[in-house]
Amino acid sequence: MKILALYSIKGGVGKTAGAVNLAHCAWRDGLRTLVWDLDPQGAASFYFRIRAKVKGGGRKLIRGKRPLIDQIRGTDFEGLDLLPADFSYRHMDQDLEVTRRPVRQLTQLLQPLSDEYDLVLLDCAPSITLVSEAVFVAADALLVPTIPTTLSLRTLDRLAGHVAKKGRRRAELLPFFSMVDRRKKLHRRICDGDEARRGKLLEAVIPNATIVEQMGIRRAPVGVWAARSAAASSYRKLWREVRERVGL
Amino acid sequence: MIAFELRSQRQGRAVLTELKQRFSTARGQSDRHKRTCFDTFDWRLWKAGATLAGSRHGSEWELHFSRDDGGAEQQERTPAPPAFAWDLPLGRLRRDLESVVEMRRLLPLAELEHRSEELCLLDRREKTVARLRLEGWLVRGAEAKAAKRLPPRLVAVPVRGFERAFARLLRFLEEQGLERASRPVLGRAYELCGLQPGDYKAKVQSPLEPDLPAHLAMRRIHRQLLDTIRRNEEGVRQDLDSEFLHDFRVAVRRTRSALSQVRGVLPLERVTRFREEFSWLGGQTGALRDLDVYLLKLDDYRASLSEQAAAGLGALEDLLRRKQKSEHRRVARALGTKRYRRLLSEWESFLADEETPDTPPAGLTPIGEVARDRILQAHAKVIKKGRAIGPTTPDRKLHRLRIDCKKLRYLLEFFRDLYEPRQIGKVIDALKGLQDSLGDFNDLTVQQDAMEHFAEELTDSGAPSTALLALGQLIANLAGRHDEERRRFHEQFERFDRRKVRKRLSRLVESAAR
Repeated sequence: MKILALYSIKGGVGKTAGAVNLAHCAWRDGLRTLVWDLDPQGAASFYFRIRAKVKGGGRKLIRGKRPLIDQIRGTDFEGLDLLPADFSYRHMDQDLEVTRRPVRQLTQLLQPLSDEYDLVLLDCAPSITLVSEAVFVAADALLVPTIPTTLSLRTLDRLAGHVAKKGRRRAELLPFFSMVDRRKKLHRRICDGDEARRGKLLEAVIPNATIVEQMGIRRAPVGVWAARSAAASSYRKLWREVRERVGL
Repeated sequence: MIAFELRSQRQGRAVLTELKQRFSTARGQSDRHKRTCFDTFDWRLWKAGATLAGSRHGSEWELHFSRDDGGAEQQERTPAPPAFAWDLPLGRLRRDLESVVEMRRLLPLAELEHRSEELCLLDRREKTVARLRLEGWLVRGAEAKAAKRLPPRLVAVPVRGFERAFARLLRFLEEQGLERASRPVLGRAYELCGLQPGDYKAKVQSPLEPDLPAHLAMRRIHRQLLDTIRRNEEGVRQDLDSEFLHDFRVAVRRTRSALSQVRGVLPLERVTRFREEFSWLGGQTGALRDLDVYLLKLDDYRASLSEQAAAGLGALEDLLRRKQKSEHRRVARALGTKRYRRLLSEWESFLADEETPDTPPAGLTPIGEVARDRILQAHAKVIKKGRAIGPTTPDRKLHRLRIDCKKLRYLLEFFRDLYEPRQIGKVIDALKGLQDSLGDFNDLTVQQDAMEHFAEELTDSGAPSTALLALGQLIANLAGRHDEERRRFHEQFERFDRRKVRKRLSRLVESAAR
């Protein structure tokens, strides 16, 4: 079982859209896939038409009092499941804090699922906290959606530095450009230019497309209702690249 | 998943239409595929409640493996249709499959064509909360041309976390007067192909009554052994896997053992000739079985050696494979001879001829009595010889005891049906422990000799020094286990030679001799 996290310090960069659409691509490839919606906003749960609620709240779940498997819901795609968000996830830091080894806790919780799923996608909330640390330890790779702006790139560099600094087993960093608007000169310049930086990012580029925003109305991955769109095809390309990189 | 069997496709459609009117639904995915189902000759997958099916995709095969006791279906792509579990790429599917089928070959038994359409039950978020599939199946046997149709089914599929909706769906289906399918699709499919899942057992299982005249009982037992010989013959001839020959040989050995252990029951003169002939047949296949065993043990050998030495096993493997091939050719030739064919056909008509006038008077004794006498005698021999073995007794005495145990075991198994199943099972288990330790002990010596022999052969053919290093280590390992296995024998013998076991045995054999 591989664990991938859609992660970014910043919000609104396309994490949830990435998680939902990549999960759908993985499911298409026949992988038994689980999405864990870690964001108390519950956007991934919403996209899969599942109530953002966990029985007994996030605290019991995070402390391991209730097995994850009991909270898992099937999505509309047989073999693609969701562990829903819960508003109480906003306290996840505190909940982790009281466990024995906070940064290992997510790894521990996910371990019993390893026979059940081939892939787990963690849809993280934007921030850099204890939860993020636990994600860095649990995940095999961090998929970081990055808007091609100067500040985003600075943040990415900081993140890379931070992840590299820590010893132990650390997730591989796999950033990709997201919400790219080719009409903007800066986006074009950053996406096309600077070979050295370009090499650190995945090749697939996710455009800033209305289609992606419409997922909120359709409440389904773009591959279902707009399979021929540029957005859907760029997610497919991203998935192929990710799959290759993590050896799935 | 819960399946309901239908009378017709039309009935299924009517239910789907009704469902659409009563619930909020959406059309789901339709599916079509054709897959070949595999199992071993002795139905290991079937018996374990597992299914392996595969289909060709371009130049590859896509395999699907699932078990009834839950867990998701596993998939794997392989370059060729599956033959042995160990041919598959390393991974969970291979591990799970290998634990069930071990060394047996996967045989393509039937081709199943599946067609389905699906209706999804929605909640108020228009989220799928349960599914109902209408499935149709066509089945074709391995050699058959025409496909046969299975009765269609409606299959209710739960969605994880939406159990209430699933319960509602089941209630609805029961209201429609549908009945749950009593058997899985695969079982029905095999039957339509003329196969009977689970119909092969290498064990003896003749139904016997205690007062049956002994000669009739023995004929019955022999007929069953003959059937096992016949059924394995083709697999031996084609060398499909090592176990065909194994079962074949065991049946031949049991036949010989029955002929010599239960004497005076069948006409002596004719039996003597058959005994000689079966002894010839057993002799023909011994060398091949030994080679099969060494090949099966290669992985264990490899694991027992240092990495460097293990690399040298390649030369041994090549040698074994070459020898196995030529030995197999010889065995296949022997099975093609007139002598072999005549043996089986004459044996068969001899067994069928129950009215023969030269049946000796002992043949009319009730089998319960004969069984008691034979078993007690064989048991006394084992006990006597076993007790005589001390720490300094030469190894060959243990080897002889092994043969005596085997004779006792065969007798217990021949007459098993005469006795209370649980009790006889316990006696056999105790004996089995003893036999296993004796068998392992014997294996050590036999393997050591064989490896020394192979080492000489490899030296003569100029094999690399790494090969000899590997063999040297192997021989040393085998020799090192000698004392440990002897100790184990004494433990097991003590366990077998307990008052409780002895009493149980005598009570049992007396119970059928009244």
